[in-house]
Amino acid sequence: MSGRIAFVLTAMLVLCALSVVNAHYQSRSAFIALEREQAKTRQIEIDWRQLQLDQSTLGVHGRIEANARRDLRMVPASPASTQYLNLEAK
Amino acid sequence: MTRSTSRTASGKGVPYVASPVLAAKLPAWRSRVVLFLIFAAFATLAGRALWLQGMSTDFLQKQGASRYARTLELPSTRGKITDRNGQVLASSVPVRAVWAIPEDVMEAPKDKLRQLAKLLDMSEKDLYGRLDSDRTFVYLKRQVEMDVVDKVLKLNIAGINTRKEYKRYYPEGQAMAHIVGFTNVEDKGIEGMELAYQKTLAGVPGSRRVIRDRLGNVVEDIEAIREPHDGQDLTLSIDSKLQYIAFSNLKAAVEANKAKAGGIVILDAKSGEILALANLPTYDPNNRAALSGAQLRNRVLTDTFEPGSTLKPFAVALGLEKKIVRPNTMIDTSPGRMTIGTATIGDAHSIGLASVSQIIEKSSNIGTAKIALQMQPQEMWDLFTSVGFGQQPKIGFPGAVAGRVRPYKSWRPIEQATMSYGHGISVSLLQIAHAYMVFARDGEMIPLTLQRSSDQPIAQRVLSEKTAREMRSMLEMAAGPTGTAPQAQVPGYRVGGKTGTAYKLENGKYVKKYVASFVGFAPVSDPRIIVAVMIDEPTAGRHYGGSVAGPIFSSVVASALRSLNVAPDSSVTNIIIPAEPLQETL
Repeated sequence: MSGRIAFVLTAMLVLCALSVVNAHYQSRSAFIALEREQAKTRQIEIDWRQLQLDQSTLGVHGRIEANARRDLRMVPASPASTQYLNLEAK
Repeated sequence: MTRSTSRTASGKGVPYVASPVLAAKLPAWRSRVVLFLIFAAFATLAGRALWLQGMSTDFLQKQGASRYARTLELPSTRGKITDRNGQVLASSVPVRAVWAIPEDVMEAPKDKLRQLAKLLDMSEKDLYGRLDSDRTFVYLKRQVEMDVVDKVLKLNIAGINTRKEYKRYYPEGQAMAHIVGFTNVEDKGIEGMELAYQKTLAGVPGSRRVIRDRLGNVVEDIEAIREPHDGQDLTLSIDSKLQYIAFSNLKAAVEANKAKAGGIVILDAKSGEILALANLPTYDPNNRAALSGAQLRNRVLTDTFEPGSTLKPFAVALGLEKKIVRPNTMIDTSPGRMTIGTATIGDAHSIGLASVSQIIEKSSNIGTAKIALQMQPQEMWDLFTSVGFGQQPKIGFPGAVAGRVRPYKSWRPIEQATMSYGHGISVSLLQIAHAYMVFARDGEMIPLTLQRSSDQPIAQRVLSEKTAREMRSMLEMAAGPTGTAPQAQVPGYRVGGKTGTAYKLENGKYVKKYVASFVGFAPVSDPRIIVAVMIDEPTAGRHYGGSVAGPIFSSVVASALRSLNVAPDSSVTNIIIPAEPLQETL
């Protein structure tokens, strides 16, 4: 009788030990995956920063004005060429 | 041997004690030695165990940890600086510093080193110069951009390593240099707002202790993570579009007038925000190879000058406020000269008998002095102080100066007279622009700010609304066709303002060099912006505030009001200056 109990307990012990190993393995791979995603987040943040910077660099008013004047041959609107609408008179 | 033979053998055989094997007589010390050796061996083991467990456990645990545990730096990024509309003015992006172990690198093939020098944009001689060193760590180049770093690493030269760092970029470059400032190679602010807000902009790097597996993957945190904290973003009150308008107009004017320097500032009369602030000469914060002190100076904030006539409205407004004069009170300014004590002051052109309005319009020193001399010095001093002269502007910008207003107790009448038209007193351009707020805001003053603010600041009443409005219409005339600054007019908008032309002081003496300035606001019906322009030492012939600074005011106000969507307050058909001259300056 006692021999049987000992056998069952041993089997349970082995199973538990194996499941601990398995859980540990699972947690580590989940952790690595998490790490990878977090690294990706950081990289995307950096890219976003860089893009914002590029947007500002390309959108500098000096550049826009130069392009408008040179390439698009635009001129600033003068009051003489502006039709003002009066909201109250609507 | 003799003893065993004497014993009797039993029936079963030889009794144990009588065994002849035991009969061999060994010396007793041998067994003791063995016993002692065994004991000594156990004692050694125990001692060793005690030593490892008790005495050197820290060292051993450290050694063990160093084989699997790593402390990772968690980098933090410095906060961005943006303008009021979110346009990025300064931002850090990660780059690499390329460093070398000279001994290892020198063994690399010459061809590869040639490529390396080319990639790092340095001559081969420079490269060898840097590598010729006994040290084991030499920076080859700092702040190398990532795509270049990738190519460098692809060369696969032994002994070349990289280290992560940040580089700050300033997309607006020269136009915004003085406000934003810049950081050094360690990403630490050393000028401008970068310096002023170093504490909040700078991030706090974190760290974490982890276990790494054989492949270098992080598998577990051992200790609690110290989270990195990124620096806070800073939103300035600056509008980058107005800044560009101000800067480009100022630049054109400084070049046209062959001036030494110039400054311009645009304030929001409603909120006290500084919308634009530009200086010349300037520099490119992205490329600071050759910087001089003159380029770095934020003249608008840190340089004081004698403002000259731009100060007249204050003395006259005080006269109106104290009911000493009315706008139509006639004052005799002839013959254009006046002696106070031992000194004589004068007007360039005598305007004879003139009303108070005309005194402002024509900028008469005599008329202003005559009004000022009817007031108590303390009253004038109080007004100067409450509009901000002699007070350091509280805008949190490093190096903003207070200017100089001497204590009223020591004023002599001649000083009171000259001070009323802006001599014997020194102010910065920002201060004079701020002071005009009292006219633009119907007699109230509000504090200035360089950060975008949404809540209405607390206003402080300095003059009555009536006085401020009267002065506003006088200033409108001064900037009108018959005033001293007809060039300051803006088609479509009513503007008011005052010219200033002052000699410069050098070593305590006035020299024949000028500072031409113009301070004004627009639209007069409900002022939205205050613009102050200062041109230092114009040398192209003209040197009066009206002809040098006036046109800049006009073109800046025209573009600024249009970009702010301010409705015109004068009939558009009533253009006094044709639209053509505007086009060439914008």
